[in-house]
Amino acid sequence: MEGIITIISQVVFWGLYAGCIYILLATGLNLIFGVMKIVNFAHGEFLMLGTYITFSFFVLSGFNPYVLLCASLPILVVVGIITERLCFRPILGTGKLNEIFVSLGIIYVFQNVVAMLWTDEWKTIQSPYKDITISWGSVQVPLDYFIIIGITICILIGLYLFLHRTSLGRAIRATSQNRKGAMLMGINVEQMDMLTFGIGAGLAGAAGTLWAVSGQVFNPYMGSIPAIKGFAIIIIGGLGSIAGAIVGGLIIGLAENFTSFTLGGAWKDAVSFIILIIVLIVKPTGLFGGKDE
Amino acid sequence: MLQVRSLNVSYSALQVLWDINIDIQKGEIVTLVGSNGAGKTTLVSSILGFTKASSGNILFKGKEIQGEPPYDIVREGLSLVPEKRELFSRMTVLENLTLGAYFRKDESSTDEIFHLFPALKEAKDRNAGLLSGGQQQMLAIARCLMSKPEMIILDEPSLGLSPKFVHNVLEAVKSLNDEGLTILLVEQNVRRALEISDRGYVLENGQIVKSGSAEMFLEDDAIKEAYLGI
Amino acid sequence: MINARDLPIKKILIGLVLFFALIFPILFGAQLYYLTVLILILIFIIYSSAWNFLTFSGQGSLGHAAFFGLGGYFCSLLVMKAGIPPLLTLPIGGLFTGVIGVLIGLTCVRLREWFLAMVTFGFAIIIQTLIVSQLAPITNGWDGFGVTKLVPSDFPNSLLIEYYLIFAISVITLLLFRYLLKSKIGLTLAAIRENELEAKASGINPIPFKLFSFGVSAFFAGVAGALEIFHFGYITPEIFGVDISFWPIIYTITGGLGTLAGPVIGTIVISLLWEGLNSFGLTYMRFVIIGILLILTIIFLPGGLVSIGGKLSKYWNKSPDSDKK
Repeated sequence: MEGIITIISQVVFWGLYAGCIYILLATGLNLIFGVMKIVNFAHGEFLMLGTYITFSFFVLSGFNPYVLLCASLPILVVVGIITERLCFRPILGTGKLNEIFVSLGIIYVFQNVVAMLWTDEWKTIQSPYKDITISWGSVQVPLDYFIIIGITICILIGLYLFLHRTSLGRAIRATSQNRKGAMLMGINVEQMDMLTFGIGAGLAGAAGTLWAVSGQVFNPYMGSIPAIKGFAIIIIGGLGSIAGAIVGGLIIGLAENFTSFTLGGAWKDAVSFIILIIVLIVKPTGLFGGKDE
Repeated sequence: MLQVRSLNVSYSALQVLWDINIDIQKGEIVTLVGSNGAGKTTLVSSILGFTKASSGNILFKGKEIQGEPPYDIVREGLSLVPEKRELFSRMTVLENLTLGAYFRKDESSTDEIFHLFPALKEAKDRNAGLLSGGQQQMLAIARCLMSKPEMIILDEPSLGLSPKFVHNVLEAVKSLNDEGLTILLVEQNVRRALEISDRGYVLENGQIVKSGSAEMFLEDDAIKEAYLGI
Repeated sequence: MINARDLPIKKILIGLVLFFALIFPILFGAQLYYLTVLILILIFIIYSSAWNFLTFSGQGSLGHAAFFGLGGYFCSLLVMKAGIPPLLTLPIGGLFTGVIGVLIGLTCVRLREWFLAMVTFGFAIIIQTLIVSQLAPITNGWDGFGVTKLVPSDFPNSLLIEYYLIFAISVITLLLFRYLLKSKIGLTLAAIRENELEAKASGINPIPFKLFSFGVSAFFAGVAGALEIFHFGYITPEIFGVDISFWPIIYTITGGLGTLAGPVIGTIVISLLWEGLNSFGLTYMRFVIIGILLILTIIFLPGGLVSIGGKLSKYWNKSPDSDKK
């Protein structure tokens, strides 16, 4: 009996930790969707860039990889802003399929530029704390899980404060809720688009650092699956809802690790889509997404 | 203050506005009269830059604003209370007002606004989406005033309001004008609007067919018949 | 006076392309490399056209590799386990894929663009997962298995025969799509695509039509997948890869979405470009170039390559005429 509880607790911790990365991805996608009403299918490429930036700085400087969040996040903000300006601005409002197709182009460019620079072999780095575990009753949890969960919570709180307590954050929320109204407030909505896209990319970059630090392997093509899961999460959690993204992220994180444990590792990626498809069959607008925004 | 010169607006192949000329002086209240579908909202949205004109000029304080994005026009001091109010419904009344002063560098205060609309002060922590129709209209006007504009356009401010609220809104409009605000009132509730206005224009099928003083409008038989319901 | 405009340029062009496609192998002495490239182009023309057919109903898919791969697997299994000759398995495999397509379509018909894209993408991954896990005993998991070729290699001129066979199949496929689009079904699909609510108001139930296009699209994607496997003679779950889902999209967008010629032109142009870049040794760079091309096409040439002709002829017709008027 105790053995089962131990295993379940392990899986829950795994799920929480995996959920963190998805939550960061989904929150970024959600912000972007809220403001621009577009879906960035290339979001995973920002995650991938985040892992490579962390990797490169780590190899070059030998800093504690957690510190490299200070590099991956801002660099990805800039990359996001440039991507929005060059690729998404020109097609805004020209049809939803176009957004998907442009994302495909971006995916090809980012993946292969990275492959040219770093080759397409799997890479990994190691956290300085990888051997430290914390005992929670009979459960052994790596210290890194706690740090990653803690960092994610800090980033989300920071984001919340930015959106709710600063003038710029309020302007972003205003643009998200009512674009026309925002323009009437003198808010330059195109700048908000760029900024939001940048923030979304920055969050994905941060997720990339966490991905790398946790010892998971990465290659130039690793981004698509987590990003699509991020998107599945916001469909489950409701488009435009940050709280929904957190709940959805945890559901996916937990479900993945329970299925790996029961059906076998091969189902780890597929289970989020099964959940997604079931949700959409039951409710085509998403689990918590009542309104058609 | 605002001059519209030979403005033509089309939606793809369909021309909606034909050779519109409007001139509004500083400190005036002017009413734009027109039935549904005459092109009033299109005219307003062209002035604010939401709809691109196919030809013509729009001058505000002598400066060409045609072709500029709405947020720049608003920053020039010309603001709009739109027909659909366009509030941030998942934000509080206070947040809506704060956003109204978004681009003002100086510390703007809500005291003045709450003095003008006491009902909003009581509701300041409620979400804008939960307000009654009348309160929402108040909030839309109040939010627009927060940026201290020199001229505002009110698109159908009395739409969907009870007569008592219509009275309140128009009273508020009048007192704003007394303080020096230039106002363009786009209305279907024509009698009340004309009563507080200096001049009027009639828009029919996308063209200005008549213009003159408000008194003249109130006595014009054709206008009485068409718009005053007498 | 004969005007350049009056000539049936389109028909002449189509005729030239067909003629060239027929004599090309003879001219170039049936070199292995060229023939292989041409065969793959033909297979991808079928595949892209199948993907494109789905968009005629206003739907889209990010996971057509599901059908491409299912067709490949089903036909391969029929050949290897039931001993049916490859050519005969094509309609059976297509039908099977088509049925799966309709079933997947059932979950999709009510969804909006992004959700649809997600769900189709998800199905490709779910099916791949099934193949490598629960179905591994018959599919041999990630390792895959060898398959009889469409035309056995020991046949004289086997590749040439294969080329003409696949050429015939792709011409038949395109003619069928053309017929379908000109028919009443095609018109109904267009009505649904333009405005689904209006179509509903005029008494059309869009669901059977959307399912139909899912089925047809899956059928031909399956046939294309099987042809690819019968060409290479080996199948692995890589066939469900994300890039296999993306290629028909890239081909079709570059060529021209929602036109019959679009996927054909796009496939030919991008494939040749691809091979050309490859011969310069640009392994990754070619992906980058294709990606940039795709983005530029969407932004600056939303109608794809086929719209260049229209634009040019407009310009051509305008300049002399407008002077006279």
